[in-house]
Amino acid sequence: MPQQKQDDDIRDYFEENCISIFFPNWASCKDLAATLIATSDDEMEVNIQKYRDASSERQLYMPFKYLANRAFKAARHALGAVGPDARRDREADLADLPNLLAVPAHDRPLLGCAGERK
Amino acid sequence: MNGMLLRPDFVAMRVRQRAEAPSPVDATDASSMIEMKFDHVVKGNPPKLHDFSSGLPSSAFEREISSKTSKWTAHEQILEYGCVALSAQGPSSQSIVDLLVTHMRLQLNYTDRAGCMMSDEHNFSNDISILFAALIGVYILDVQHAGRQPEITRLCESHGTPLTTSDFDPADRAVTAGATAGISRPIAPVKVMIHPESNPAEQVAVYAYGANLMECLMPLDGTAAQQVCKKNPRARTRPSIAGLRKSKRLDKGQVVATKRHANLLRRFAPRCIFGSGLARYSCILEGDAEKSNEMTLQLSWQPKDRVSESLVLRLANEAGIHGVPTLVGSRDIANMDDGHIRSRLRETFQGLDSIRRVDKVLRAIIWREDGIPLSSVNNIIDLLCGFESILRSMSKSTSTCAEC
Repeated sequence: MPQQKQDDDIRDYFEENCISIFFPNWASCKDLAATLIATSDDEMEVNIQKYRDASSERQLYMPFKYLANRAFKAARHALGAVGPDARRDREADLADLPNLLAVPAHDRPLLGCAGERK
Repeated sequence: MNGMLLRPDFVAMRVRQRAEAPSPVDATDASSMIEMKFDHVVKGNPPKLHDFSSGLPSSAFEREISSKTSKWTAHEQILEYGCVALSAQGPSSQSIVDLLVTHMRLQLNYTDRAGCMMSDEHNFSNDISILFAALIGVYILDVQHAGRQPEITRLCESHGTPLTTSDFDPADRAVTAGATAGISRPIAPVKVMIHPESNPAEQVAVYAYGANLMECLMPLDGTAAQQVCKKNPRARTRPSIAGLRKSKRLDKGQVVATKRHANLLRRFAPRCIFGSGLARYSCILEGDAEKSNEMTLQLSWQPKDRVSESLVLRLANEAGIHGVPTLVGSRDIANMDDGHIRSRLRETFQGLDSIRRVDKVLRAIIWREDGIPLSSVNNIIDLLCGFESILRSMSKSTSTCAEC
């Protein structure tokens, strides 16, 4: 559970947790995210606005799916660009990297586990 | 709670390039689970329950979770999602990061086999790039997956391995929801580096494939079993059938499914993530041309000071004891205590009796089952007790004969 923050406690626990969880990449993640925002196109702007304007949980789904997949795609391309053979064969570099997708589970069955917990 | 279930809203998972998102979603493939809330839902802390009377098939995941309390907080839900997915993924995943997104607020949940950590909530309404950064972090963690357990590599294709394309066929890994809500799902094959017994200084790749042999024993009706046994005359039931009989779960005409029944519906028994995460798979050594050698790869987290089964097997093999599997290779391939997160957890919870230091090692052992399958023995204590029992009975027999 999250830490209980005292009144005089000015530590940014979220930041510290992110540093720990994504160690040692959190700074890079933030840099890449900032770049992604800075270079966003119209479609992305529209989806960010839709996300901000949502007034119910269900209205979050579509714009979030778009934004999450843009983030995964940006990360994949960024890693591909620094791969050992990036200069020669970009497609091959990307092929070695996982293609992560934000797959909706709110509208379809989720399987994968069964039986009693031991 | 019938007809109701809760589930994460999104699952971050690997999908082949240009392939469509799978349906149903398989928690075993999840890199991260993402739960979305809206403020009025979170403030009252009611669980997010979806009415599933829409006709979509039910899932085992649903039953597992909905059987518990309906008064879960959002934190408990996202933790449960992560735990269940991590447990199902077996030893190929060491940790999972899940996201709880409450419109413009974000919390991260990190779970591994030793515990979990929930971050503070962060309001990103002024800087939405934090949401992107977290998602990018999830991606990078996924890429680094092999780096956390560097000797276990999840494979994407058969090229350069002795495996066949069918071992990677997603169709074979599709989950089928049936009356038993069973799962017939071989793992995505993995490569593990081990030291062969023939030359311990060397490293050899082992390719593991198929279903986890530690899946729950499943009663199988006689007809289906006969069909399989005709194809595989060497098929045998596991010795722990006796345990199943005692539990009265094995009805008349049923047998226990073995790995030869891997194509049939099976129940997956997730090991408690706070336990050893024991998993066994069929495997083939690098350089071997075919899979006829009946080798098994065991991956298990064990206390560092526990004697490895590999030592017991090695001694038994050297002593020429009949019926003991032949040790092919072994290696300690990862430490539980090697991560930054672990250090952080220890610092955070220092002094609490309930938080104990985790000092475990991930051991890989390869054996060839020439005789009694080692899978009938749960741990080294059972194995030693077995030997002791044999010696005692032999001693009694000798004494009786001497008295005669």
